[in-house]
Amino acid sequence: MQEHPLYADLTVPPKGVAQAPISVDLALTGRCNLSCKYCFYADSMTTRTDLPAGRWLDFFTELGGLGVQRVCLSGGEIFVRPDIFTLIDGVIESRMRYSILSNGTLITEKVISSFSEGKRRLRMDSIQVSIDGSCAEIHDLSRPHKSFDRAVRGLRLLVEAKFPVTVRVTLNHHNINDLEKIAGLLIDDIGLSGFSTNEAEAMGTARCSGQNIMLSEEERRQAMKALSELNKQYGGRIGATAGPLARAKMVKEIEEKISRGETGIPGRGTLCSCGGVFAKMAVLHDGTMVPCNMLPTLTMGVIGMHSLKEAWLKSPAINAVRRRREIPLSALPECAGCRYTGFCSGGCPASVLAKSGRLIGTDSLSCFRAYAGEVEPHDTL
Amino acid sequence: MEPDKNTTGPNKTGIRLDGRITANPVVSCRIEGDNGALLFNADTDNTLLINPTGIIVWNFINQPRTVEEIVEYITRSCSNSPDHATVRKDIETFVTDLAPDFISEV
Repeated sequence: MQEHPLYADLTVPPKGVAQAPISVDLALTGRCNLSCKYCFYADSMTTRTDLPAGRWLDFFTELGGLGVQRVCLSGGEIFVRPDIFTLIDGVIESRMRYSILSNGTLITEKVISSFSEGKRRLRMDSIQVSIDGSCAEIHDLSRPHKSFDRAVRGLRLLVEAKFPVTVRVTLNHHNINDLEKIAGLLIDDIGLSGFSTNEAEAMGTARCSGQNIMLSEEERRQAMKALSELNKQYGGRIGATAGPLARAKMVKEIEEKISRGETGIPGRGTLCSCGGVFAKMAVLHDGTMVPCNMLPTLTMGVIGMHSLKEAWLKSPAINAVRRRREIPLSALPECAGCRYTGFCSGGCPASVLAKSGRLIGTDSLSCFRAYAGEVEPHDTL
Repeated sequence: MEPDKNTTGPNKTGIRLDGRITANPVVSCRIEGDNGALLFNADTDNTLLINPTGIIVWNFINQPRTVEEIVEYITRSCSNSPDHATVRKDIETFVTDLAPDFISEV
């Protein structure tokens, strides 16, 4: 009998899985000095507690021994940890490189100076600061009062000290009319080479804020158009792997292929998004190993108690996400009869799980048929 | 065996093949199934794929070794290894490829 992905042995990894992850996302703390209105991690922050540094350092040794090359350090806000540089030095000692995600508000001259010790700068791939508006009046609508000034101050310090700094702008209900000014602030004024964009997802605090923070479909289409034009204006210096700009690129690609009479894109047509679980995984701040920090309920084990390599290769939680890509979209009820299935990839599994409670399904934000107006989105909250 | 004079001095990568070499301590080795392993220098962000025999050499140079010691070790470890001169040439090429990112002279 042919093996069916829904009934496969999930303790066996599918083909193409590396012996160990290439990179691991680490939420080093669940504490944060801010309380943003679209924080996807908020639910985990309230129900888990931070690990002590020693547990992390032991884990870094395990990662280095497996040849893991990179870690991405986030939270919460990692600079609330007083021992953050002990942890960064542990990453370095374990022969890895690192990147940081931060809200930027705790980055001071002293923090900048601390990075000059040892190999802290040499091993840093990037440090990302979140900016959600061109001014305090807009940025602070989705973040606590007075956070804009501190975030921009931290960002400017990083730029002046020539750190490999990046910025993420999360599009939401409050900033979609501010995109041109945000680009002006980040690229023309502060001097960044570019910035990336995303969109407030229906997770964590965004679920409570609803349409007061998340984009409506009309706003999303407005953002797609505005970001595409801005990106053209700035010579492709605005990036996105998800959110309105990524969606705009997807739609354009599919429309072009349809106009040429093509019926699909190689590698698409199944629940193949996202491929991250073949090369990376995540650990929450209490040590819980998960396929992605946006999939906190899919537990693979706990660091220090379970082997990372065992979890990576044999955990049903991550193999279930990996094996989604064997499921053809045409087999799903929401895609029945759709002539565009050959072009689609199903969207973010974390978004699907958050909206539907199921792992097997599609995210309407990645559905070309819904974008084309031929069907209503099937998963609108 | 008389070493080849063309390969014992510093070569284009600056490594001397008549000295002792060892694995660069900032390099990690990541086993990639049957395909070999990926060496990663975390300082320079460079990677290099090595084959299963390369893994044997890599593990052997976790302490300082001469090229000749490596050749003898490989000849002993691999039952179907070619003649000494061929192994030596292969090891010299391997060492040259690894320098300077992945190994260092002692």
